[in-house]
Amino acid sequence: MGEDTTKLSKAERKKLDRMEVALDRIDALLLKLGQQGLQRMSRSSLTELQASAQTAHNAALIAIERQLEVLATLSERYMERDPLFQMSQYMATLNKLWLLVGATRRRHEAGETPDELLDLIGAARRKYEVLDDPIVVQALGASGWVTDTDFVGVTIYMGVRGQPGVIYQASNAKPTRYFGTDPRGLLNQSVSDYLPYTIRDFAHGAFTFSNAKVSHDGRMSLHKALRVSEAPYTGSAAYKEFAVGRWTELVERLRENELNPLSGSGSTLAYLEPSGFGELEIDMKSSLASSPLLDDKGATLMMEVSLREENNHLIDNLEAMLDNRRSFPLPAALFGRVSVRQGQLKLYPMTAIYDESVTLYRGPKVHEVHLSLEKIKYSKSGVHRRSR
Amino acid sequence: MSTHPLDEGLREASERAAEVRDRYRAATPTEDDYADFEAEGVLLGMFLGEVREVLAPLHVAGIAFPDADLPDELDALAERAEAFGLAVAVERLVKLSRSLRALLEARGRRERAPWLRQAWSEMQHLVTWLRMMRSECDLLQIEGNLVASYEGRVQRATRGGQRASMDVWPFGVTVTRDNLAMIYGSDVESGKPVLLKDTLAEVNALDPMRAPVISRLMQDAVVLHKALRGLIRLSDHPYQRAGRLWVFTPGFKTIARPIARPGDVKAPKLSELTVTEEGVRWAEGGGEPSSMDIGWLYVEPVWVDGAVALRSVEGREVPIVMTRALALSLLKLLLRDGDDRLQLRFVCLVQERELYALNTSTSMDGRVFPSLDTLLFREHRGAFTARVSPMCEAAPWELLRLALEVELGRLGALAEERLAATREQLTGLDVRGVDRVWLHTLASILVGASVNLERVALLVSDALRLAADPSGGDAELRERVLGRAEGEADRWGELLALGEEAADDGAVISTATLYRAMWLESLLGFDEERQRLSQAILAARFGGPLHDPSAAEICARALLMSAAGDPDEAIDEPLDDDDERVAGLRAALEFFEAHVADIQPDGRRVSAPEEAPLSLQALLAFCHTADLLERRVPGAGFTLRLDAIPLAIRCVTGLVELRFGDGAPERTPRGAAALWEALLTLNTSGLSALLVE
Repeated sequence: MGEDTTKLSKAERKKLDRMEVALDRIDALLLKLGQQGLQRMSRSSLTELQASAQTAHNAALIAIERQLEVLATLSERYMERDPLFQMSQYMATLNKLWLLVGATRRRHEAGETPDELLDLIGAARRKYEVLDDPIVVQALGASGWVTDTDFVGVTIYMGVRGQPGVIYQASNAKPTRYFGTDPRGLLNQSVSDYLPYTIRDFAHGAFTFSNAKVSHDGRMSLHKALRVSEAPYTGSAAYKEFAVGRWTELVERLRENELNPLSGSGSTLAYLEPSGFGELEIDMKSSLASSPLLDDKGATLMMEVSLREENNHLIDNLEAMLDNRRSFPLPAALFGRVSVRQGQLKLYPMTAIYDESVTLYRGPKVHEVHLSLEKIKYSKSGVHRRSR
Repeated sequence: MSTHPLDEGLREASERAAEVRDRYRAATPTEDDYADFEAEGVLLGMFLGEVREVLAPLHVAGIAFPDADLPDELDALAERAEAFGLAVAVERLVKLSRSLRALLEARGRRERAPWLRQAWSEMQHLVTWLRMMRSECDLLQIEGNLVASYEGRVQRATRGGQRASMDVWPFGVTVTRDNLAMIYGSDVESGKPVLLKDTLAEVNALDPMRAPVISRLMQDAVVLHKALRGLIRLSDHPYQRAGRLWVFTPGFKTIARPIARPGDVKAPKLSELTVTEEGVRWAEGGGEPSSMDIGWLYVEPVWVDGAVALRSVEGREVPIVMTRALALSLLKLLLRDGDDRLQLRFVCLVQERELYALNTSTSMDGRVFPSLDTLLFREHRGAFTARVSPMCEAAPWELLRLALEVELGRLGALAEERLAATREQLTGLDVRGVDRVWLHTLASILVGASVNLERVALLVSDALRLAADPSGGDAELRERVLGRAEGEADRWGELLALGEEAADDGAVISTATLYRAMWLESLLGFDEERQRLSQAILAARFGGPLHDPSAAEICARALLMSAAGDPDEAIDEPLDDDDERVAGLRAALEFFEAHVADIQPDGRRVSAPEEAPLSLQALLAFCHTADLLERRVPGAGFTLRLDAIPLAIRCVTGLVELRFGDGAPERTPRGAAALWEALLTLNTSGLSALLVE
């Protein structure tokens, strides 16, 4: 650590200079925001935040750039009296930014090069490394999304056989201008130009990937040289490492990320087998749809989805599932992201899982239904019984 | 590196959070511990809430405009923090209080500035501590709340359907084009009829039974032939009833496991079927069987009008589903045991008015599944060649006979001295013209005789010059290339016709001959003149896209492209070690692959016709060209997917005609050519596995 900066190339020295200037500017901006407070926030403050994000980007401070963008969004919500604004989120983002700027400055002053600072400042483009050995992956969950930058996409979460707890993500994104804003439209698209599989194929089943390239944060590259063949699907065994018996076990998992205020997403992917499902309640005031899930001792975990356009299909599915309709039987398990919010455990559900396969609407028979992307074909002979 | 106050603060906060955790929970928490967490956690949570309530307005109003009472509130909180034993919080609260008090007392911008910075920094330290304590406290409280809400055991909301455990004796399997497999069997103990529905992947269309397939039901790669010869064990597996059938589908938590069949397990008893004038009936009682019923009957394969048919013992036609594999299996069986009257016991599935052969047994092969297994009843090479070789003695075409002998020699029948004699014979032959030299060279390579490459090189150059010359060249050149004088009939035309392109485009040198010249060219090293001529032919003869091309056109053009090494056809991203020539070769391979993919019934890009539309000669050309290109292009992964089952049927049909057909076809050039084609194609397309050593 701490190379002699005189040995750096001219470009690297310039980068470090830009970084120093950017850190000063952002520090000053944060102080200014802290001094004036939210109530004196104006449109020009937002412009200043956005400009600082650009400054951070130009100085390769990607993690700081992203936090500044979040801060700008939160500040805008406050100014517009948006009910989604949360004071604790604003305080935490501001604090995270302050910590990031401070930590980057100190390591920079200690002589670390931009490459050595990557864990802190992030990278604009992911670096992928080729895996020497083939890997066998199985889709555990998938969700659709739409970005503010007008992209619609699907992310598939894949468990890696023989690597307990490891999840790789394969994503496919398309411009909304040509593909619309409904991620379901992507399901029958080819997963990449080089592979003869659709996104739906990848979202249901197991595959062997040779020449796989993976980034340090678990993103897979669907590149030209990737070779894919089908592998044995192992059903529940693939979820074993993510399975949680009682909700108290979820707390243990969440603790693992807790002690570092700079890292840690504060969430974990989990496979849950609820013993009971509550009614789905729609709260327009907080813009949330929620339903309690019970474990086998009766403890409650809230399944919660915010009322946004891209979640419409997911909420429709939850309504059908929890509204005692025969068209969408109660699942045996759910796969999703668990986090703590407002002092409660919350599950964002991605995938409903069935012991006996179900037939998807215009799709194959499967065990997993990706709730934001798929729905079950109506069947009169539903065999699933329910009790709340 | 010196320790920064911020790092120190973070470390303290982390340690403190860990301390709190230790204090509030034992190594293995009990339900009583959780109750304590809840009680104490609530108090701690209330305290943290109050700290947050103080900090939130400061974020809204701004640290430059603190409430005058705020320092006192912070001091009060510090006292309470002390009572909780939260030393870091005490320190941070006191420091923030002092900074704010100094800020409130300071006058003028200059005097306020350092206190503003100080207060901002202290506030962020406190927020950091608060965030970490909050998350730990939340988790503690959540744990406590969860346990406090326990209401005793809750019944599962979802219960699957019925479940059963049994060992299934599989009778056989059907596989649809979508690779949906239906395994029919019965419970070993109770004899209940069972249907196992499975979805297969990575099915080898040439060999679905013996090549590994991926089974969703068994959650593994399995060899169906092996799995179906044993038992399939189901443990607590969900099922549904469909009439009398117990239907099992792939489970999520349960796996169907193939196991070896214990010696004491007897085959389930099945009822006998018979074929009457009215159709298929049960032998006992004469009732009509229902769809999905399984029974057995004796059948006899017979040769009728050039095709194999099945007859009942009484001589009635059996309404059997004649899959390609079954047809092939029966043909091979006739080849192997054709001198005897064959009688087989078929276990059949009733499908409406037809029967589907699930399995049969022979003393040599045991229990086999002839409707899907392409590798049954294989011919022994020795017996095969001994039977076929004498038939070709009288073939009029000397070269053809030699080539055939070479092929038979490759199959292991020719003794070493006979091979040597054949080599000598081949070397001594004087052949002229591209077509004859092509066949002679092919035969020489097969038998290991030497090839006069200098002579080949001259002939190839002549052929390319003739093809590139729009005026048609002089008579001498034409005679050298075509191997015959002007006006002389081409007796080779019929024999060596490449697929459907018998009627050529009127060019002096036909596309088929050009293909053979290019094939010969591929034996030679790089030559600038030939490269230039190849480029000229491509420009003159193959300028535009191909419309409905023949096999010879596709193969000739691909080989010309590879010889020309045309850099304009280079792919976008050549390999690192590629030069322009390698890029040109890859372009040739891509061109070839694209056209073959359009033609061949590979099941993806075109609907597969019942029979492959290609002649064996065309398939042979495709196989050779694919092989040549693949060997020349580094890293190419091209696989020519031939629809090999009808191909194999045609090959074996040719052989069966020789064996059983009327009019001694082996005595005619066409019959011998069919045999030669069959043998060559079997070898080139990797189907010689149909024969065993």
